[in-house]
Amino acid sequence: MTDPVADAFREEWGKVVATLIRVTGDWDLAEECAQEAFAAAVRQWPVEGVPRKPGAWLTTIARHRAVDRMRREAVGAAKLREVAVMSYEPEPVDDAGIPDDRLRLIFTCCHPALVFEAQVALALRTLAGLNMAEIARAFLVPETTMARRLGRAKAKIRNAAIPYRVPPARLLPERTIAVLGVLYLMFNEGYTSPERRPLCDEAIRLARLLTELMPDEPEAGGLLALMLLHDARRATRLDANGDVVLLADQDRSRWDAAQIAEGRAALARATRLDRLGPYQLQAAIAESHATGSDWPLIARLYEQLAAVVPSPVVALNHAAAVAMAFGPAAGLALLDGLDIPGYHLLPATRADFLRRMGRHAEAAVIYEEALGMATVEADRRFLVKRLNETRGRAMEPSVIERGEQPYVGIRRTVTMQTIPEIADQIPVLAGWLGQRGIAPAGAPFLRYLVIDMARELVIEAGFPVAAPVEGEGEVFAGVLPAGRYVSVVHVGHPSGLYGAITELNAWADAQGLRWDAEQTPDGDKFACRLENYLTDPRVQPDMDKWETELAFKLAD
Amino acid sequence: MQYALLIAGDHEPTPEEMALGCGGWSEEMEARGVVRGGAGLRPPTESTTVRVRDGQVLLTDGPFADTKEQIGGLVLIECADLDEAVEIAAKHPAAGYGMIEVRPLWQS
Repeated sequence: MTDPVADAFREEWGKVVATLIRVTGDWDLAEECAQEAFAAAVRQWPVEGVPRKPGAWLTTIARHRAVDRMRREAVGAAKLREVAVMSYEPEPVDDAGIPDDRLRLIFTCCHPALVFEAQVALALRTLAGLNMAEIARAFLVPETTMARRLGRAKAKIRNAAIPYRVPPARLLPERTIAVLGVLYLMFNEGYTSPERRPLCDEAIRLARLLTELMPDEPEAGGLLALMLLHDARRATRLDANGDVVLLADQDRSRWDAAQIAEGRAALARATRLDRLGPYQLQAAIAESHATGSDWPLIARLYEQLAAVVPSPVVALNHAAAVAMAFGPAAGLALLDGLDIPGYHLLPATRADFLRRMGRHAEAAVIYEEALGMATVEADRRFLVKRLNETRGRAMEPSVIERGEQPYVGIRRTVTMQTIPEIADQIPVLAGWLGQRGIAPAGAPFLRYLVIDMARELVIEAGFPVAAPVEGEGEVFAGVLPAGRYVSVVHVGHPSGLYGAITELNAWADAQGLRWDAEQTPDGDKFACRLENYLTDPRVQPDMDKWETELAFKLAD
Repeated sequence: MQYALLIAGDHEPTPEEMALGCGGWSEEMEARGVVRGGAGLRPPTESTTVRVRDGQVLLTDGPFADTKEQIGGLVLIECADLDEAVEIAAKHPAAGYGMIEVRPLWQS
């Protein structure tokens, strides 16, 4: 049993309000009269039966109420408006040739001269029929705050003469993008926190309406598809603790098949119009995820998207898709030069690539950096989990693959007693880079080239850099060789490194692994033998808590 | 609808910006018949702010708003709606280096 008035409310509220606003020019009056019309339906329909055209019935009642109220006001301006309402004509066809009043209402609610919250609140109230309490809840603000906000928005529409119309052709493209943007933001507001979920439903309803009203606008269909395809996975996005569940780990049987089907159909209709845009591309990506994640296709779609929307976040997603399609090393290469200040997903993605390449020690350092940026509790829990995993793995020796790494360094010949001389060059290098505005691409290291413990050692202090740098004076530019390395992290005072190296040598012997090194009269020469000082002494002055990675290159 | 276009910037116009002037804007808008008046203002350093409190006339050296952006001129326009007012404001050369507030007037 469905309630015909409730059905009519869902179907017709927006239409009645939209029409009443057009004929009265008064938003508050329009809402009040629409409300009275629905109240009349509640009283009369059970007795007299549901009218053949409920929408027309409701609009007529609402219009009569408006006239009654204006008669009571009975002043000059009201008289004029009364005439306008009485001579109510069929909906005029405006510049864009679109007759539905709701489209005027959408464009007016989403006028860029209104702030985002006001745009959404207006759309929720007038088009979707949410009451003040529901809207306030969706924005997590007190009802009085929301009432004030809506009041101000309506006053501005009236007093600043924001036109009630579908924009003329010259404004239509940019204003359509603005409307789509509002609906997508509305959806995202609801998507990120479960208690604001009604915003998702309403955004989808409005996008559905928009695709009906603008069937020739492919991006409207693209947006609808995008939201449906994302929303179809909402039940599996977080686990019972509210933690993020990765796509690959989500229970596909709990995805909403009907929504996926509707989303795919909307996307198919949109792409048939043959004018690709960012929403359709994102929907195509979401469609692929909903149907088994074809990563090479997704990587291609992100590349197309990056061409239309040059944003570092899109570039990041492109790298992530490439890593899934062609391996983490290919993804890592695409992250070079990318900078999104404060965005934890950038370091989190970089760390994930390194983790998948087995470079646990480097991954752990970058997970820690990501943790410093993440604010949402569920994100933080995920990063802590990954940080602990990679840290644990890093403390076990493992064979990793390292690419070439440009660096800047200072080289010294020292003895076991004068090693601090070279270690002291690390802050010198940091200052040298700082003066040139170059950010290090990782932790500083000591590279042991020649070791003769009894006599002399040749050691470099260095900092990895993202791109080759020109050296100067005793600071030189070099490249650490690519290849297979054994990596292990020592946690504790660096004085314990001697013991850690002895253990690592024993482990390598047991595994039958040989360092890329040769014995010479000057001592043992190593192709690349690194101590990476992962801990920043400014953050952790207690040397007993320092983490140092040993990374020794293996013979081929 | 009548609007005031309040033209503001965070610096005195540079000689280049001065040379732009209104860049044909005034001529176009006069021809369209939307301009109802206006004036360019001398710098805020030459301004005096007046208040009367308890019958006392209080003067302050400088403008009333102590912000970086200062109003450098204003134009009164009359047009159909906010969309048209925005279009008119966006065409003004000062929108390219400063900013323009579009404020509706009380309707008489």
